[in-house]
Amino acid sequence: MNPSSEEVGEQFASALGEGPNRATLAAQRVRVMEMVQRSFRPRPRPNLRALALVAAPVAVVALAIAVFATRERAFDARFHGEGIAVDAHIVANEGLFEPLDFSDGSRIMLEPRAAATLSELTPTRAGLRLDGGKVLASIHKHPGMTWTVSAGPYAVHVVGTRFSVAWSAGERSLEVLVHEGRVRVSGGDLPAAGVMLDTGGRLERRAATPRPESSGEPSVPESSKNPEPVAEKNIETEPVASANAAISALAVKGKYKEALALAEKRGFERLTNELPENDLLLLANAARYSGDAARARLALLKLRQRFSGRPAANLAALYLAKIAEDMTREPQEAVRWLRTFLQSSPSGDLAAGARASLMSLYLRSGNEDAARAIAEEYLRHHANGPHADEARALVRE
Amino acid sequence: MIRSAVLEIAPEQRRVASRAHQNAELAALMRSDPVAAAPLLYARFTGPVNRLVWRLLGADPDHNDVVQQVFYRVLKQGKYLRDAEKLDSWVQTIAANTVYELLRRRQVRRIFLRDLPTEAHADLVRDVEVRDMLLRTKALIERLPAKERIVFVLYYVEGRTLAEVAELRGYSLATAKRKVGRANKRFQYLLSKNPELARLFRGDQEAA
Repeated sequence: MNPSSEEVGEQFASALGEGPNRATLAAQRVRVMEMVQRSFRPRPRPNLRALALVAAPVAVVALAIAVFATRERAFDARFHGEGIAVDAHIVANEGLFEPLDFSDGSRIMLEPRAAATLSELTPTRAGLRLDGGKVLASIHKHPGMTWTVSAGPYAVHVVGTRFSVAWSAGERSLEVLVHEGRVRVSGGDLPAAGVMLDTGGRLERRAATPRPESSGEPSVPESSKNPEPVAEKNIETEPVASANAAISALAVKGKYKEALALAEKRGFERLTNELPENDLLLLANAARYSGDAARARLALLKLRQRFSGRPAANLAALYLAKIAEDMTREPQEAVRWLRTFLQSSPSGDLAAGARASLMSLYLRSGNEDAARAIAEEYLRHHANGPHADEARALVRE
Repeated sequence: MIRSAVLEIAPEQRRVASRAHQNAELAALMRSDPVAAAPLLYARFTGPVNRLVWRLLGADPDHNDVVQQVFYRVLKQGKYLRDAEKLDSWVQTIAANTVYELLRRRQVRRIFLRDLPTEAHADLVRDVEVRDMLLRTKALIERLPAKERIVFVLYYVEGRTLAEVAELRGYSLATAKRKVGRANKRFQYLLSKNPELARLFRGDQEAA
């Protein structure tokens, strides 16, 4: 029998909490006040008598209007609440999504450990160079304003849209996903005019590694080289893109069994080698929610192998621990994965949850010394965490 | 004599009078000087507006944009507020309507374009289990039509009464009751198709 909607609502509300954190509210307040200044500042009334008295030549008035309309508006960027200048290098902390906010309301959200450089910032042009990791951009449309996010040899040109760009400097791989609007991607091995992507469009490329310059020998231009022959990473053909999108669409709707069935039909193992990072995580979770531990584990292990070091790969370790703990009842395996996760992500809220799970696993297996050691570790990293009281009680015993 | 008369007023009545007075002052300031009113308005309503939008949208990445829009509309429409005593519910109605419009736009996009994944605000809780449950429940709630989603969240998540739901959405009490009932029925049907999620909720209850 289903839980009642009251019960679901209560738990949902409790888990959701009351709203964003204090830092976000502080930034929100700044933006609201800026909006108020822009939208509600009273305009000075024209002195009609003075205008009536003074006869201005039409050409002079027209020139004044033209100058006013094209005047440079202040345009600034803020990171961690502070203004940053061109060439500033910014990095998102471990375990945190951090925003780069612009005074026109645009925002570029850096995923944990993403690194970027503000390459350009004028009243008509803004540019960000993605040095590594993934960003999600929400760009407000302004006539005459050009935005560019560059990654390696590629550039994503934007008018007004929401999209994400992921760049791995080590693999020289690019992924662009357009959530809303339209972008043009150019550079690397793409055609000179670039490639247009509309809402829902996705592009994956892998740029050839530039040959080191040897003395006296000119380097071969990028465009004339063959891109690395990874067939699965070319611009997706419509049928393959549709299939992958259909699987992801089913998964996000909560139709996990259907998503898994479709993936099996397309070739589950092949998909684990092809799907981009987020879709592979969706597939793994669809398998997990469908109760198929083996398939979930396969997808998560592939995720860790293909996207090593990425946030999704770290998350995969946690999900592998959950599979071991809840589905296959292998507590030792769960412990191993939790410890693997903590090696790459020793701090942050997910780490707090992982240590809490470790405490619980050790206690259940009767290993109180190990549980106590984890409790001490918990209190060192998360003194005010949700399980701090339990950890203190364990340490006191 | 005036001072002793003030002291005789019951504390509750003084609080009510004080709130009504504050509302009237703030409403008057919004009409005459929105720029001066903005910090007071924000300080007074940031809590309720953020909470309502957060819960209605489910910790959405667009949360801050929506909140900004709410305050813009409140200031823009301040001159149309007839009864200053209803300032609190009026602001919340604007918040609910702003969320509704966003959901409608998204619903139209989803009909014609590819589905977009359920995303969450960066501030959403990081505990993987809770986050799991949250996103899965949110994905289910997102499948309700926009009007049903709003009344469902107001009634079952926010815990508002039917009268409050009716006021916020501009319904009669009977209409609000009917819409909540329909939303509940649809949500329960969706939940029945997700036995894993239903087990998750039951499992939490058993442990509690």
